[in-house]
Amino acid sequence: MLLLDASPAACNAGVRPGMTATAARSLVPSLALVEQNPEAELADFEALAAALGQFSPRVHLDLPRAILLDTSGCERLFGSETALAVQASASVERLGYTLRTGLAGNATAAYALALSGAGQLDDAPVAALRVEASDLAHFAALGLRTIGQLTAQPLESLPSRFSNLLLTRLRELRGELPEEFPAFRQPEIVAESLQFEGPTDRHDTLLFALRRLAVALEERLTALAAGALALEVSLRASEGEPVKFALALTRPTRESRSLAALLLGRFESVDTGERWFEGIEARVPLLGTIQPPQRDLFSSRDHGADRALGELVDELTGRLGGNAVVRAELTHDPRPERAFAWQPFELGAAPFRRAAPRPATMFEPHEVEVECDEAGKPLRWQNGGRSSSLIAQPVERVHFGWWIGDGAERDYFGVQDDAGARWWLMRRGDGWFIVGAF
Amino acid sequence: MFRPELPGKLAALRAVDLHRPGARAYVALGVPVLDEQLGGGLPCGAVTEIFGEAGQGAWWLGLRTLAQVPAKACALVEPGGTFFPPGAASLGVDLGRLMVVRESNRKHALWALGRIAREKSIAATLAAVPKLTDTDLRRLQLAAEDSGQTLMLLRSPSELSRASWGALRLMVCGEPGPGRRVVVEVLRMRGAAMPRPILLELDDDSMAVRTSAVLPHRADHTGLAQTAG
Repeated sequence: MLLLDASPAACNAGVRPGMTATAARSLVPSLALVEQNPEAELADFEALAAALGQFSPRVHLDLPRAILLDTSGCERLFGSETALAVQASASVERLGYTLRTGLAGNATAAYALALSGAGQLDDAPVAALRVEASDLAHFAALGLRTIGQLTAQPLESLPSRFSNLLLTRLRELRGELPEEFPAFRQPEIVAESLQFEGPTDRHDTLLFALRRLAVALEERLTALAAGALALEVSLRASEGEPVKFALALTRPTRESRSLAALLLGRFESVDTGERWFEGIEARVPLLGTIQPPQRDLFSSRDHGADRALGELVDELTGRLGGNAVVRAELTHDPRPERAFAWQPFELGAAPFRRAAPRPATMFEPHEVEVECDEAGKPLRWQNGGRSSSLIAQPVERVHFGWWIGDGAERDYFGVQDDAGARWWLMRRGDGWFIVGAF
Repeated sequence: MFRPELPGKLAALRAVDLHRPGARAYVALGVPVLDEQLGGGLPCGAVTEIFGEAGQGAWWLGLRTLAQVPAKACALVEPGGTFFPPGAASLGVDLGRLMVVRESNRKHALWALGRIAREKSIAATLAAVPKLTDTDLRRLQLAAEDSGQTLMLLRSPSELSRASWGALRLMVCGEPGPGRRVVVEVLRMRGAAMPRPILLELDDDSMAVRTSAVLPHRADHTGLAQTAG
């Protein structure tokens, strides 16, 4: 077993890439070895490449360890090439990775700068040119340590001593040969997943994973200039079916803070039972375009408040369900219980309309005994053990088609009792019912 | 024993007094006498507790306040499920701007109320969540201070003896007799002298305020105010 890479602490103890595991362990007995997982690495690289799509439409993967971005013309969107590189680094670090960047006029030079960490290309070690091992041995024998020393040599003298790969690299470095890398295509479905180190049932671990997924989704959605209109989350259980939950959003959303609030709020109402989980995946099955708000000279509409309100609605519906956050819309039905309909809440979706005098609350009809005058107007009621005289308003007769059933005619009175409380009293047939309070 | 730091602490407390002119914004109720007694209306960035029995006018006061909020979203949280939107529309509430949370589970409704109270894009919230604890009230008061909302809590008179973190406590009672008359009494107003009760006479059809008058302090109400402390 050979070492592919080593941490700085291990390097300080004498461990070097290329050593056998046995040799490395003899130097550092407590050395922790992690077996390479090419599939997981590829998935991570693809996720990073997808996230870096926000900085350039031309992203290339050069496995096993590089992502190349052709940023020609993109720097203007970020202020400068340096600012773009800084933002790209920050974006990758948010996803939990460290990044070494190289910024140059061609890929080979950028590659050398990134691999070496040198500030100037001439100072970069020749090993950063990604040439063959035999070439490196020759460089060492000749005392050529940096790319500056190498490029100072006449190109014509090199073929006899070095491989064709070195000549190719030098021509690429000078811009004499085109550089071709396979283009990376953004996956059609935005999905992010996390695999836990081991099965867990810890609530805080799952919450942490959801927050991490929200950050990853934000980077992916930013790359697509889109927001999520729906979210699906699946927790892979150690045994049995995965635990799944879904969310529908009222507007395209991609801020990790909002996504995390939605996911965490919804997760609170998910019953995970006693199960243990090995990983978690979040998908965005439905995308929506996010367009920056345009400034409007004649509108005082506060787009920031609109956005905050949308986030609030999504968070509430995510936890309470879609039917729990609503607005009322008046209808033309004469029956009070059908005089309005609940609709999904959307600010200003219906124009203001004033209604006829109605009570503020309505409840299940509560039957009472009522004494009336000759005209049928209520004078006194017996409600349980209490008797009260009534001051009644003129009757309001609600009449609707007999084919509807439900008693085709009702009379409603606003009445005030002895205590000054005001009620809505309904007469249906021979019965009297309290149905509402003002 | 006199403590020299006390005057400084009192001065700091006065600095956040609700009643200090310019210290806080208000939602005016559009009834000059009532607004004047309340120092401008119902305070923004604070909890107002409205006590009253069913049908006595507590809902009327809360909904009227929502109707006075200019061009911003409002919210209503009522786990009881009795809210009747046409009644709000008859008082001038714009139903298109009113977010209604229909959640019968009290615990979830309280969570929703806490979340809404923190939201700056909501101007005013009316809630009728029963059995609020002191901790709930403190949390809601802090949330309202942060968001600047006018947060109105409809509460039962049976909860009057509980301590309160709210800035304003009102009792609304219907007056017996002909015509629709409501008395609004201030039980507690942080940082201000106790205003006198206001008698409002409402129009039977539109429920608009026809006349208003300041009443003398009543013995039973004074006792109530002391209980509500």
